[in-house]
Amino acid sequence: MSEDKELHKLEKKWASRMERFTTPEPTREQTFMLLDNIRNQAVEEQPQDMRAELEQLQKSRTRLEQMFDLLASQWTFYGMRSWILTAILMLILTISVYGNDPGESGFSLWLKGMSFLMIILIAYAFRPRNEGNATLEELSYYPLIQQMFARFVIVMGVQLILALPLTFFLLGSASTMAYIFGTFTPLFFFGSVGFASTFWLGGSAGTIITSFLWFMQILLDGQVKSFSLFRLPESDWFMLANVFLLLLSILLLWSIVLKREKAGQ
Amino acid sequence: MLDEQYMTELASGNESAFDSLVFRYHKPLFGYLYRLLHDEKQAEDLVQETFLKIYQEGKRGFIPEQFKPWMYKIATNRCKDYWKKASTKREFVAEDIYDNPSQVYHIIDHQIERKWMMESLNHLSLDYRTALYLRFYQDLKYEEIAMTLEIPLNTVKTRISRGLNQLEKILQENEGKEERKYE
Repeated sequence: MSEDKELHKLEKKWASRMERFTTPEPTREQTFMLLDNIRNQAVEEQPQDMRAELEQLQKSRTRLEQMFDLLASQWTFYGMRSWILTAILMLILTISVYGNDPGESGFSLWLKGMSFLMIILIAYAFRPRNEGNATLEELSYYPLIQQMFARFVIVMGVQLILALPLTFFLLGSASTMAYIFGTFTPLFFFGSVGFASTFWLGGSAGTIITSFLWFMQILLDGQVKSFSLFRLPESDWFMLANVFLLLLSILLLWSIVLKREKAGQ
Repeated sequence: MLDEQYMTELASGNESAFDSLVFRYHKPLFGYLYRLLHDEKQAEDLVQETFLKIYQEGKRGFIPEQFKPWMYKIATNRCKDYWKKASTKREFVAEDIYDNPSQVYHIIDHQIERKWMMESLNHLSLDYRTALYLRFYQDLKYEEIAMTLEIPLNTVKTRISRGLNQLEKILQENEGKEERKYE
């Protein structure tokens, strides 16, 4: 308090002395000129529509660059740490599901584990984050659907990057193109179900539906073998089941594209 | 009308609200920048840059909580950018002005006391000077200075009090030198 009083006294003492340092003052005409200059400069410098400018910039970029931008924006928005955690989680679960049982039965188990992992990761990658989706939708050039698809591609991409070498590692010389196909299809199927159901019904409902499908599959797999989606190449119905899954996945993804086109008309 | 209300008007498209702000603050802002830069042309340029920024932000819909500290913050930052960009340290600016007597006389109106005050203020560090200018010449409250310079309230008080004490010492030294000169 006393410091404040002292400061007050000091200021009072200096108030008149400070007046000795005066400066030139702009005239009224100079103020009018200043206003004119600012308005002219603002017209020259300031883009009227930030969105239009962004769209113009995007148009000047190649398709590949645009796709890269989209993926990079998702990577940046969710952060490096978030995506690395996704990859680490995938790796840990993959190894733990596989356990110490290499060979064909291990592969089957591993495939089931990987597809379940896909459900978890879809839920994780599409989790709400500070209404970020809505913010990005407003601010960014990319529509929400494109951003969701970019995240789907990242999850699938990371999954496949991890899954393919592990297929060779698990099966060694037994690894064939059929095994690789048999690995990709169920993963793609559960990824597509997760993505499509999230798109149509929202994040929570999407996760519940996909998880339900996966648990049903595990349940049926033990009881009714003919309904199994996780088939080994040795199975008679291997090719048919996988082609069916692939077609179903494409149809699910296509439903999103169709909805977009319909909305655009 | 309050400054913030003018900004709201500007954000809603009323261009004349900006004119009112310019008419209200052209002189004080020019005075502040002139005291910092000691260069009429440069002060004019930075005044223009500051108002341009205010205009653009207003058009974009930004309304500051308190206009005055926000405006002086923009001006102070523009000044710092200028010093950085031009690599012209303020000491050099201060020296230049004394090398050019006509400019000095223009500012101080041939009055030795004013010259002393100006010299003495120039010997203070930029931190002390900005705090003193904002308090004595721009009539900002302590809280507003704290917002402008982005420093705590107590630091503002310390800077003003220490700045004034240092100024006193410098003036006394200058006085002593002048007296010795005539002895």
